[in-house]
Amino acid sequence: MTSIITIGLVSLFILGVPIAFSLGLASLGAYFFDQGLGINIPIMAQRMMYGINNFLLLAIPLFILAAKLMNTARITARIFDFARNIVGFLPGGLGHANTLASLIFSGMSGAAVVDAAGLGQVELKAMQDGGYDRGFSVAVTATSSTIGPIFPPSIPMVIFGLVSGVSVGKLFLGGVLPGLMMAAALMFMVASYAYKRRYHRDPFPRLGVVFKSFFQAFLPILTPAILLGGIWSGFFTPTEAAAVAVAYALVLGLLIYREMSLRDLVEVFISTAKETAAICFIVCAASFYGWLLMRSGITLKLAAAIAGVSTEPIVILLLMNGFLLVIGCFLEPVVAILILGPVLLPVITKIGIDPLHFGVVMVLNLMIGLLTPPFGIVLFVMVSISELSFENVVRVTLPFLAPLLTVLLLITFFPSIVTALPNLLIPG
Amino acid sequence: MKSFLEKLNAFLLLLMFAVTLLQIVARVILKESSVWSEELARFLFVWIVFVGAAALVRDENHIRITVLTGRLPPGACRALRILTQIAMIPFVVVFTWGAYLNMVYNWGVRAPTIDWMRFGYVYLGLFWSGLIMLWYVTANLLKEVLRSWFGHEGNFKTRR
Repeated sequence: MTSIITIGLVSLFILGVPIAFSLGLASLGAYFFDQGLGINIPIMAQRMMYGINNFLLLAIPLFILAAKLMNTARITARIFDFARNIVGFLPGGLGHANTLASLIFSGMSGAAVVDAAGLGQVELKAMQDGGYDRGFSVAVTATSSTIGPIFPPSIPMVIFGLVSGVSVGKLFLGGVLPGLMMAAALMFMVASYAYKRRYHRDPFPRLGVVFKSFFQAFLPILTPAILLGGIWSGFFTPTEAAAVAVAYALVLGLLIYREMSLRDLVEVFISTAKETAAICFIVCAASFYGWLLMRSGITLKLAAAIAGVSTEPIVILLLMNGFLLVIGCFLEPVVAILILGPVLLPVITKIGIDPLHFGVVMVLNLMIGLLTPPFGIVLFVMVSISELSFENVVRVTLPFLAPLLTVLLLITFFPSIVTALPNLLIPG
Repeated sequence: MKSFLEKLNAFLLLLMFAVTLLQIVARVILKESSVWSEELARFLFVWIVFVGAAALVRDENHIRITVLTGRLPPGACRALRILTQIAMIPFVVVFTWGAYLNMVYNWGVRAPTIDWMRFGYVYLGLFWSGLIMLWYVTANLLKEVLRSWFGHEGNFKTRR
């Protein structure tokens, strides 16, 4: 049965059958092979419905909506201006501003693609106007967008919470330190480039200018604090936090800054509903697949087999890193979590690795996959907004994987970077 | 129909957001937790996903891996496209059939917290979605077959 699912999935994927339909069809095939004509027809539709009939998942459309609203209302531009005033005077200033703006924006958005396509456009334009070469600008924009789903909120973490049962609030908090480390590592990289290539810097800003841009960006910058504070204090659940973010973005865009028309609003709602359906229909199909795997007991056998190789958590984690990095080159993060989560989690728990730790490690692995050929989605976004060829985007982005890989190794070896904060703030 | 579905879905999304927001307002300000809002929001979400997924089938906007499709000669590419449409059919049929059966079984089953809500209505969304998908997949398949037989699309207009 495993072989039917695996071979079926891989060949359907390569043929270009949509992911959701491949998952459904391969699982159906395996189920049919197992049960013959006695298969229970309603079960697939039922599993698919239950797969998304979950309040947790409502966070996905709401966070996509919030981020799109922020982009449409030009709030991202305000954030970038603010970041530029704070770090622009450093060598390679706009590169730092790019990273900092992405970090701030990642506190209100949960998907790297939204960051890359929205804020990324603002960042690229500013860097090109500032005389930076296109390759460097693209590389920084692409890599900094992957902080989005590590620093909370995060759609892949919501999906991991769904698959693993780990509290999403904890996963969110677990991403805070790794997210900050990614930003720091990227800034270090930017500084070394700036030093080598003698990039110019902005003049040291006058205090008045800094204050002005701070006030202009103050309300948006508050968003991460509202979200995290709300989740941490138990004031609202992650899903409700997402609704608050949408409401806040609506108030900022429609009432305070007035940079959004009703027509824009309709556009944003339509495109969000589309993206939601595209992602969540895969969640549906994956839940039938997950149910089938569970029922067959394959995952437990696999867990036992891997535990036979080594029981040293760090060895297993390093093996998983290698595996996930390769998988990440081919699969979208949410898809990879849905397909591999049910397989890998029993292994993780059997060996005694904290699933909270593994969740953040897994998401970071898959984020790096967004930047690697052949299917790195962020690379495609960069091609479409920068007019560089795919080969060029790949070539300039490659060196910037080093800082991300460094952070990945650090959080792999030191679980407490991930687990300390959530365990401190949400005991039990 | 696609444009109608998209607008319907945008509206459902707005409702879902409003209901979720209402739940927070009710709890935090009125100090009264509403039990029905979470359930209603979830059901709206189920509708958004399934109806939206059906609308995506028409222009083939579902997420897929395009490693082969872009690199084959036109003839092989066309054959591949026909093959992928055919591959989708068994899944869609079983899904629609299952959704129909679930709808019938659950037509009278009350949702725990909403008086007028029945589980059957939720499955109605799935069933409807299945029918639309079946329609679109068949139409896409026919279009592709006609194009490869006659070199044009017959009476099917190009919609792209």
